[in-house]
Amino acid sequence: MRKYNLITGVIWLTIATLIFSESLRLGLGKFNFPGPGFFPFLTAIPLAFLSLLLIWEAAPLKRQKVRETQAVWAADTNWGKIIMTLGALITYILLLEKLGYLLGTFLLMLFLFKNIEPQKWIIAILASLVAVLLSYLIFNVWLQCQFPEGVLLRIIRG
Amino acid sequence: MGIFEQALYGFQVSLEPANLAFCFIGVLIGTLIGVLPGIGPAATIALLLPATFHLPPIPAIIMLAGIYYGGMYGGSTTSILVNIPGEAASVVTCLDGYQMALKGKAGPALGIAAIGSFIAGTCSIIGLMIAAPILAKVALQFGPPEYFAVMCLGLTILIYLARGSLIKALIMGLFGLFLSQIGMDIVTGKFRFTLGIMGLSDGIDLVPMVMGLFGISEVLINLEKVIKREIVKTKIRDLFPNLDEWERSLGAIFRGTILGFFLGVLPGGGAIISSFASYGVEKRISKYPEKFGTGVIEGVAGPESANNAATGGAFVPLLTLGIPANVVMALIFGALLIHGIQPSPFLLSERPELFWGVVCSMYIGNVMLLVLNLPLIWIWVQVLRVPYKILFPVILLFCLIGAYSIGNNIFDVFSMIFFGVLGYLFRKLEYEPAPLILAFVLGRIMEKTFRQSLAISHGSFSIFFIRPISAILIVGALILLVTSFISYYKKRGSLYEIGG
Repeated sequence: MRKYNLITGVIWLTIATLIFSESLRLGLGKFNFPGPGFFPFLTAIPLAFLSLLLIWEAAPLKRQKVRETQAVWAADTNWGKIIMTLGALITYILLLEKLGYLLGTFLLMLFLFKNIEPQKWIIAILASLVAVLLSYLIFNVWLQCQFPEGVLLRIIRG
Repeated sequence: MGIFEQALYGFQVSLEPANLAFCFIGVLIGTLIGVLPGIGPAATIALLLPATFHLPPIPAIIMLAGIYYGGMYGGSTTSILVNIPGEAASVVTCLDGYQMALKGKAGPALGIAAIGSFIAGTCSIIGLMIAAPILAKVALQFGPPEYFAVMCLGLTILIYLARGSLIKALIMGLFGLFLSQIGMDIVTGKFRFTLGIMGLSDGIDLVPMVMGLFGISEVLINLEKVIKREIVKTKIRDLFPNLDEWERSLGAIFRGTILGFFLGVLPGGGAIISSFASYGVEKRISKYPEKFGTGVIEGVAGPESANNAATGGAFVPLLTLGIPANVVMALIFGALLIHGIQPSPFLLSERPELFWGVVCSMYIGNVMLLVLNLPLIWIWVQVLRVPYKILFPVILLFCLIGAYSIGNNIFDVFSMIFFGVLGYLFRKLEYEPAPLILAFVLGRIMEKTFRQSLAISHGSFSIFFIRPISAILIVGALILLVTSFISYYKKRGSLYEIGG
């Protein structure tokens, strides 16, 4: 954890510096009429101070030994599942307006049911169909959320 | 009108068929998500928030409140039968609840959890009915400096109660404040930190942020490893505890109720902290503390009562000061704003039908929950058998729909995924997301009241210290901050071993 604290400490310090310089650009104003940069300025200063504290804590003096805590990511962490899920979600968002809700969501559900935690094809197809149709009926038809129509509905409607 | 007339009026409102129906839907969804690990009340309310846009405000808030306190009932079932908390406030119930189930006492454990929750829920609503009008009257004298001071104290309490690193909790609070500043400046109209992205010009939306930080990140955490869910193989019988169990539980229920209510009222407190505090108290005053963790009924009765009492308590600052005490209240705060209602001390006098309708619906909801969780417990046991591999794509789908339907745009969905990844990293690196959300919600009001205060005082910071209420609150916040730093470094010092 110490290594990660050091890294995040540096990231927070960078963020604080960026907020600080942007707040000066925005203008601090006067005490009786604070400008748009005043509150960000007040946020950046303690943030910078705390990130320095975090860095200092993560890099203790050589004569001090810190009891090791458990690893942040276990050795058997399934990275493949996480990356595939995020990749599927981003692809879905990018294609949603073109494919439309029904087709796009069906393909996403099928991918998740079949690839992330593998199931039999028939179960994956049925579960995807039920999820898509039920959500479409509840949100689009009943609650009128207006999902993108996409290519499938346009073809059906001619 | 006296309190009884007002309560009667509230019951009239909450017993209207539509309000009754949405109360039932709320507690039903609440119990369901409470039972299912992997999705909590915050993420559920966030993803159902857009669905309430089309509803009138009273049934919408009644339903959202129902999800919150319903989740507290449902969470205990999973803790007792599977040893996995259905939601965070039921973590501590696993300790003794699961042990009771292993000993064949799942029935009394579930029974006392539901009955304790019912008693605590009902008492906390009475507390809310008494405390809210008094506090609202006091709050009418508040000006911008007092509001700013209350919010400072709320954020400090949240950080004070943080379970992990104090520095990380403070950083999260400040990061939340920064995120609230993104978008157009409220006074000058200048764009701040938008990076030229049009979607950021109105600021970051709370709903995709909460869904990402709580919903998506939870799914990603659960995908890391396979969670085995094995339901205890025992017959659930004797749901009504026997005389001896009653005798031992009654004190714990009432202590849990009082503790839970007051911790719930404090901004930054809430159900999770209340349940842990109640367990600690029960263990400390018990004649047999060594038996805690082996299936002691007080260890179930106390925390389960405390987390329910906290839900009623949490409504007090929201409905009287317009300050959300926790993440769920922040979302309900957002829901009220969407419906054109500004939570403030005037809410009680300007919208009594909303205040008393919602409060009285909580009584009715508690009765519904008792029925849902005792005679119908077998339904929830079946729900527990739904495997996670079926559940997680559905959770993701709900998050996607929820984020998209806020404004029918893709930007909100991207924003949710971004916060999902950020939330995952935060959880792994032990940064709690709760201070971030609360600071984000309070941030805009804090900045507004801060700038107003300085304008009133012609630029003098002394305004925060010469007005008695704000002075007491700010000094209180400073004392808390200093003492928490001292105790943090004392604790941290004991972790070091001085080497040669």
